[in-house]
Amino acid sequence: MDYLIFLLAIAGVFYARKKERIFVLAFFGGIFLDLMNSLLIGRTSLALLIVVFLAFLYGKKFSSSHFLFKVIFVFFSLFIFSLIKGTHWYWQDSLWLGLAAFFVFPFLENLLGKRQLELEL
Amino acid sequence: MVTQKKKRPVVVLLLLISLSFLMMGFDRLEWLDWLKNGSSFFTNPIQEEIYQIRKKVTGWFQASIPSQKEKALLAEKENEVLEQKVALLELEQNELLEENEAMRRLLQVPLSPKWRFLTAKILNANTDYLLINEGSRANIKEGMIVVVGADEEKKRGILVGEIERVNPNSSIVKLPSSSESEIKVKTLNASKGVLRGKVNGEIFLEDVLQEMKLVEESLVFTSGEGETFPQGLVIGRISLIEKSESEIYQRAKLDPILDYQKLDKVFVVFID
Repeated sequence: MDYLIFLLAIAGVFYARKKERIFVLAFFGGIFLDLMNSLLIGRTSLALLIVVFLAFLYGKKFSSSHFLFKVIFVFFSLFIFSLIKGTHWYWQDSLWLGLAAFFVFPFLENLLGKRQLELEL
Repeated sequence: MVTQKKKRPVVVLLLLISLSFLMMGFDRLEWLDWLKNGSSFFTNPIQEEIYQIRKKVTGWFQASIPSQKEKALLAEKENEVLEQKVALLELEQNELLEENEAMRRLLQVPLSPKWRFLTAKILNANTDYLLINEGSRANIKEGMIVVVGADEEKKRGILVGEIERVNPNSSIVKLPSSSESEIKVKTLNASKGVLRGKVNGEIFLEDVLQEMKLVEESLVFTSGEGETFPQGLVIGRISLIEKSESEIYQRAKLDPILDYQKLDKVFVVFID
């Protein structure tokens, strides 16, 4: 559940138009996870918001680059997320998430591209 | 106008980050207990469902041949139960051998405290912690011990962990495999040491003096030293001994008797 929300938040920043909504979603997603896992309320939100902010910054810089950058970003951002959250980082989890991003992100890019084309037409 | 629009996401983000800090502060002051309390009514069942699904999925992956999946799971479960029983019997045998010695001292020893148990379901698990569905409403307090296969009369069981944090309707149990865990233990041949969890979920028996004898497959249980754990709670067996003459201490890798990721329910111990 944690990783699903984590991946959705990053994908949101990379592909959604209104970034503010993604920040709000990341905040409430974090609160939800804290409540689910009986953790200190606000900590996961903070971790998610910081990761999402990094995605926001670097997503702009590398917007024209290959989606592989985004996949690598997912891999390393889980480390930052775990660090802020105060949990252990398992590189295997990062690898699985990176792999998930590898399959999901091109699909999202494709979908977004089609929608853009429809709007232009 | 354009700059304002560009700055908007950053302003929203800063506001939300501040709000996160504020909520962390409020939670530390226990001002958000009402929220935890209220939410646990719907988050606990969701957690329980997710945990069961995760366990099933893991089971599918572990049994590779579909037709033998059920058999494999059953055999694994039986094996686990038998292993736990053997461990407890082994400990009992050892204690019987020491009984004569203990009987001599018995007259001077006060009656041991009474144990009561509270059954709790597992809501979530990782290598460091378990989340259970009982909390301060059931009088659970930090530092209480959690076991399975408990024997009320003999005051014995297999250690699952220690209550680390209590919420109104849930508690977090720190497992022996947690990297923050430190438990004073001994082996059947009375070698003493400290059990420590590592980051990758492995457990090591450390600080064992070189002159003490460690034997592979030997049972490791709580020594009763320290305030948290009573004596005789089984944790695991020694699987690998790491000994170097140049070191002051030797250490050994431990295989826990329990698979903490596969537990369904545990018992929280109330010692009166």
